[in-house]
Amino acid sequence: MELGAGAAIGTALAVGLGALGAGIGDGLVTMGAVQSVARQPEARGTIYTTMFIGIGLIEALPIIGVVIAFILLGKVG
Amino acid sequence: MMDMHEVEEKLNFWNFPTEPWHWGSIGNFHFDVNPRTLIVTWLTMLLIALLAVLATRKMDMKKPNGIQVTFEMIYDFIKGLVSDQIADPVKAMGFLSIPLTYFIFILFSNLLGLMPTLSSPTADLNTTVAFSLCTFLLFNYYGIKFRRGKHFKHFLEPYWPFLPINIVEDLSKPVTLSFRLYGNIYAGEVLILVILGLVPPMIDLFGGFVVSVVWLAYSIFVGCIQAFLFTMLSIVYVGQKVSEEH
Repeated sequence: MELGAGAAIGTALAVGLGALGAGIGDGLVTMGAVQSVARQPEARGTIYTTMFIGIGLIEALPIIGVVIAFILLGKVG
Repeated sequence: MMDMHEVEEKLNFWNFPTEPWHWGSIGNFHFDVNPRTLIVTWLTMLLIALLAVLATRKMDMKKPNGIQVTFEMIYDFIKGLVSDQIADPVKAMGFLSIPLTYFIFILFSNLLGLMPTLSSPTADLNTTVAFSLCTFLLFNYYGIKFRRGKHFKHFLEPYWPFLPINIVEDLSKPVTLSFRLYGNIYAGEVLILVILGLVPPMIDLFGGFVVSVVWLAYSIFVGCIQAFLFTMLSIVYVGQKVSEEH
């Protein structure tokens, strides 16, 4: 397999699998947040803040995967 | 359809030098400096200083003007975050200026990269690693200053086989902080370039912010979230090392 072909497959796999993980993780966090707000609407501010912290933490590693994909994109062709 | 590098060349309106300057090397370690990041960092500092001067020119406690109210809101917000994590008010006030600086600088620098021909200082790995190394030195310094020897005894808690796990956790904190901020901002900028490259006349006509409005709006959101997250995590890390419990 040539370098360009391997880099192309690597780019797509990195972004795709990273997006899969981020999607599932963010969905679980938001599910918890929505259930908590439904149960106790007065704590809405704290729950939103915690939800954004959770999303920021979860999305860190898929974003690193996207940066690696950009590096690999330069080696295609 | 234009390539990413051609778009980047066309967007280089101010003619920033693109190649890093080589300032010598020690053995195998090269001192390279990215001039574009330096120039945009100085621009960010100028903007923040300008806004601070405008906010405090006619300071009034009874009738504050617009910019002063904004800065007071940011100050109150960060102060609330710090007081939630660190119970002792003396330690909290001593620490307050650093998260405030982090928040204002990272917010301004993330948003500056969305201007048509500029780029963010935090889109360079050097800037974010510098910030996270500051946080790393900070929580070690506060741990040793306020809790002397127990700071090192913490590595053996709760049982001594936990030592490698605690060391890896302490080392991974600055790494993930820096890479999270760098990845989010850099990926956002590259996608701005790619979206511009889809329709070539956009770059010449508008410096290109017509088609990519949706992506720029999302990048504003991400910039604010990442600034808040960096500040919050720094406060939480220092609060963990300084707290009196457990």
